[in-house]
Amino acid sequence: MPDDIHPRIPKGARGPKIQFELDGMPAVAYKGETIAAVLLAAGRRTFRISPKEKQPRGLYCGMGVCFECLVTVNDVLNVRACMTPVEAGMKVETGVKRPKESVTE
Amino acid sequence: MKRVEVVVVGAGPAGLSAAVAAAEAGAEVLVIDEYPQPGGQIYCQTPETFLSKFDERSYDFVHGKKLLQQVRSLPITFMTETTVWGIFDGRLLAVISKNKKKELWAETLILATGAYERPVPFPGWTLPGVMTAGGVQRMLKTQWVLPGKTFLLVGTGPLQLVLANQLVAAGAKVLGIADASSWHHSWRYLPMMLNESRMFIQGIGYLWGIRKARIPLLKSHAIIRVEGGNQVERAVTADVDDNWHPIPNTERTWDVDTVCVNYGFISLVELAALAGCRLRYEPKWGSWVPECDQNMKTTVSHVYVAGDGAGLGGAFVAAHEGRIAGVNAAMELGYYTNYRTHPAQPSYQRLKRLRRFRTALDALWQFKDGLYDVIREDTIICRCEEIRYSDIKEAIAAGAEHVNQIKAWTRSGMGFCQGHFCEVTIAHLLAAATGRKLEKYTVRPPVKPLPVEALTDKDDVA
Repeated sequence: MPDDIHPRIPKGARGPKIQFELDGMPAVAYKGETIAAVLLAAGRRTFRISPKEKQPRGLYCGMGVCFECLVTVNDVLNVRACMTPVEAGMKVETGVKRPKESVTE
Repeated sequence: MKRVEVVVVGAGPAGLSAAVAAAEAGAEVLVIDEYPQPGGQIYCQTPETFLSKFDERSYDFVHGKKLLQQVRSLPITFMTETTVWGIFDGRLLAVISKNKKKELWAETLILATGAYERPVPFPGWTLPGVMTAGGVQRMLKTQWVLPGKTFLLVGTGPLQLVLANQLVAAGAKVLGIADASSWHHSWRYLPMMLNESRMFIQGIGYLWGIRKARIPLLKSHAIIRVEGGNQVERAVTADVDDNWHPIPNTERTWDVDTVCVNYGFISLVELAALAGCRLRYEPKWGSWVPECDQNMKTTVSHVYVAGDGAGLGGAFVAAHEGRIAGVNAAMELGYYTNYRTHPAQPSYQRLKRLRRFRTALDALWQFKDGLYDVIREDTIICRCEEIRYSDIKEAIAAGAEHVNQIKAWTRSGMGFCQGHFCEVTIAHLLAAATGRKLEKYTVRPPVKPLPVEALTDKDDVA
């Protein structure tokens, strides 16, 4: 992840790094960072696609009220990226994912 | 089920001050908050594992740290990463705590739930890159992440001035600030502002910082629309009149990738409503608030409110209201019986002066509904269920008289956010079209989405 996402922060100030899985690929985050912070720091602004009109959506209220930043975490759907810190080994998936038992379509 | 003497919901300045006041008297206190760390929005901290504290000298940081140290020195229990999704019989709290469901019984309840940003729909407001000013600030303060490169700040009120300074300090490019309020008559409020000289000077400091960074601060200017394919590519603003109706042929275009929006705040009152507290609409804030007396007691005898969730006042007002609520809750339980002067006496006095200052801010930056003119037929009003203005208009034309009817007919307000981001707009649109009073959707549990397992016998709800 680029260290220059906040140019005035001293190098190394974010503390230890951890490994996790983002959309099936290995990824790195700083311990304590929220999923939303990791995605935005990587320049990824679309967190999900709206269910009806398939429009891109990303972080909006940033404080757990609007539920726009929903991602899938360890196969649990609809987790707020802005409220959830990344943990080592965590599996994070962006985009819309339907429940396995869903029979629609 | 666990019985607790004082349950505080919300760990911002109001909730923490309330917890301290009650715990100092010896009451058993439990604080519930959705975040991993206490602090709320204004006193939020970076994760514990971050090595240096970037914003160490800032006033908020110092103040927040002092309050948090006070909290840690007292036997206060915390339930973090915990959502209260329902209150039953005014005392039974249903919560999800780190994916486990729990129930609590509160002898007294202090609701310090805070506020969220007033949603104002405009074309393009669902595009990634349109964020609330508070959300961007939180990202900066707690995560040290700049969520964009070039910023336009639109809205009204002091937060935009603070955020502009913080963005510049973080190395971002802020192209401009469009504040919809006007300078007209603002001199009238100068005496009230000077009353709180420290805050007044702080405000002048923010204005100076904006000037120094050569950021244009446009007054009587507001967002009209945002354009882009998969994210924000440009924003269009225009002059507005005194009621914030956009003035034709005054548009400006900004090449930015991020638009920070803050047209003031709305109090979070759904838990108060579930606890049975009577709400009233406060026109100067454009928000519903729980009715409460000078002791912060609501219409339900053991339920108190404090902070922005009790009416918009900012962090200092919140802290004093919290103290008052905490002291009075403890008194109700039989603590604080022997005293010469009332333990919250300084807070009652301080609040009087602070509220005078707030009266000035409220008047200077009051929301005006002319801005709703920017809504077009195809503008999304309910972000969750993707309901457009044309759908709402159709429902009104078909005879809808109440916001709950519009909800039932169009599905607006039935999505994940539980109506927080469409209710205010729909209430306005309905009132404007029918001449009826402003309404709220009926508040029902769960106030936040929860896994269906939360309603079963399973303890883990994943």
